[in-house]
Amino acid sequence: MIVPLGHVLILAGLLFVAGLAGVLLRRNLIMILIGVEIMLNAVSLTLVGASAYWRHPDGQLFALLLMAVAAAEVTVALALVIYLKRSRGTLDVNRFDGMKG
Amino acid sequence: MTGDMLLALLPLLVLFIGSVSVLFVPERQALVYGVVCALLAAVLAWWPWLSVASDTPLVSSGFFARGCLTLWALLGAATCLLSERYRASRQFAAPEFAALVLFCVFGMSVLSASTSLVSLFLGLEAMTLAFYVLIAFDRGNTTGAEAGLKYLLPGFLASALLAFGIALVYAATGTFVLSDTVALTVAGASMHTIALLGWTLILAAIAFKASLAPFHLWTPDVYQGAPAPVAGLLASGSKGAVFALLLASVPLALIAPLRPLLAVLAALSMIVGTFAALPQTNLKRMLAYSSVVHMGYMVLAVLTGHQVGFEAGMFYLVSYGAATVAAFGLVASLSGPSGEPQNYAALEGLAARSPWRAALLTMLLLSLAGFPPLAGFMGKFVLFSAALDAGYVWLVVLALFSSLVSCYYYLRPVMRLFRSGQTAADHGPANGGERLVLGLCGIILVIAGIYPGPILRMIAAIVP
Repeated sequence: MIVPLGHVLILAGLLFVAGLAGVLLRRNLIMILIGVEIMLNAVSLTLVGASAYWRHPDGQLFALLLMAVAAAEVTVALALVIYLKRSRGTLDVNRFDGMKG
Repeated sequence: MTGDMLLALLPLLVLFIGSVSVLFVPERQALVYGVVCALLAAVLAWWPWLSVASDTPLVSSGFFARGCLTLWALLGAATCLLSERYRASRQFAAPEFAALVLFCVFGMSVLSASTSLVSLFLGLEAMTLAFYVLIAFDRGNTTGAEAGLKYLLPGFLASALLAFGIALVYAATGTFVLSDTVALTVAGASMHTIALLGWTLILAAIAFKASLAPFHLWTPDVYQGAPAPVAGLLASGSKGAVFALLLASVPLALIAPLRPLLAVLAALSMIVGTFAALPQTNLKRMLAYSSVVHMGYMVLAVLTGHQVGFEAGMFYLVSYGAATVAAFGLVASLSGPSGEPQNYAALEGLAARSPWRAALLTMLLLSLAGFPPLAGFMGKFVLFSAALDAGYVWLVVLALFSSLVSCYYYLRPVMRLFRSGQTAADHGPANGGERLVLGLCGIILVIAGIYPGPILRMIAAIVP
């Protein structure tokens, strides 16, 4: 392996933390979804790197599965985003506070 | 892929094919078709010629996996039966609803039967994706979409945490097979720190799904906004499937550095859930916080780390699941076209209007509080004594204290039931399906409380 696994893990960790910060700090729904996508890309990077390190293809297969799952998740999320935008007229998550207690 | 493997997967295939084919069934028969598919899968799981079936690489076909599949399939059938009248007054599309419930049951069964981190992830995602839609299913209800959003965002975060945890465990151990990854981590794999970090992230994701404090913040809002039958499935099935996984195939308690984390999650869930449930005046929100407390008790079973504790955990899961499904089912059966009777005020005078349902609700809440001779008491007894044997004295003392305080918030709605109220009722008498499900849950609670021997023996036979 030309790139050591440690470097891959550090890059993936940084990407993951960046995505997590986006999810926790941004208040716009679309931005939060982009943050989640960045986190999932960090996961794919780790999987592919580990797969090369251990010299078998399981990790790469899981990375492919992960892409399919992420696409399915985003499909459902965008449907909800469109519905919320139409019914409430906003995508600011702080404005969805109809329930208290 | 051999014929034996296909046989082993047959119950799962029935659920999957059922969830696709139900979309072509006419509106009026769709929910009945869903019930039939779920029951068929439950029966096929115990068909004799399946006993020769071999394990597939991703999904186990052992007794425990089959027992869990039966449980989730029965919960799915109960959800379909409970939504029949509920959906008629709200114009739900029945085929899509039944399809999503079956797909959800499929995901739960894969999750609790998984022998690999890959099937764990896929099962959890299949279940969660179906729930995202089911929670926001009622488009006439303004809180429905908001509840869907509040399940979606923590759900996404949990999926990302779980996936990263799995990737780190894979990077450290080089395998996805659950038993090997746990064994390698316990033995101290080459990259021990990374493996531990991975398991911690997986534990955090599981805590999100099982709504353990401090990852429980979504729970009350989602329960309040979701349609009552869906909330019942979410409270019993999804949490049950996660804990079945922890009890059977991911013995997290074996990994010593995770034990303090599990103990803190359990203690926080009991404390936070109890104090948050005290001031509630909404039945669904109170049940949400009480479920946080019950999940805290369930962590005790995971912590014991041995057979007796796991059996006690499964028994507790059955008693909690029956009471929760019936409680949300009662809310569904008492709701009319104008909405669900969520506030305690709306329950006033129920004992006079429909005495059977009032009596059943009283019994369920008493069982959740742990009054003898109901199932909740027996469940707490076996669970707490198993935890005591494992040496977690301070956690058991905390659990006893929190179940003592829980009597207050469970008895508050019960008092209101018997007060004479003037609130106009817009619900009709229960239909056949509702009577069947509610009656069965009531019978299970009484039998498991008075004569738990047969149920405990059944559980002992399937727990690996």
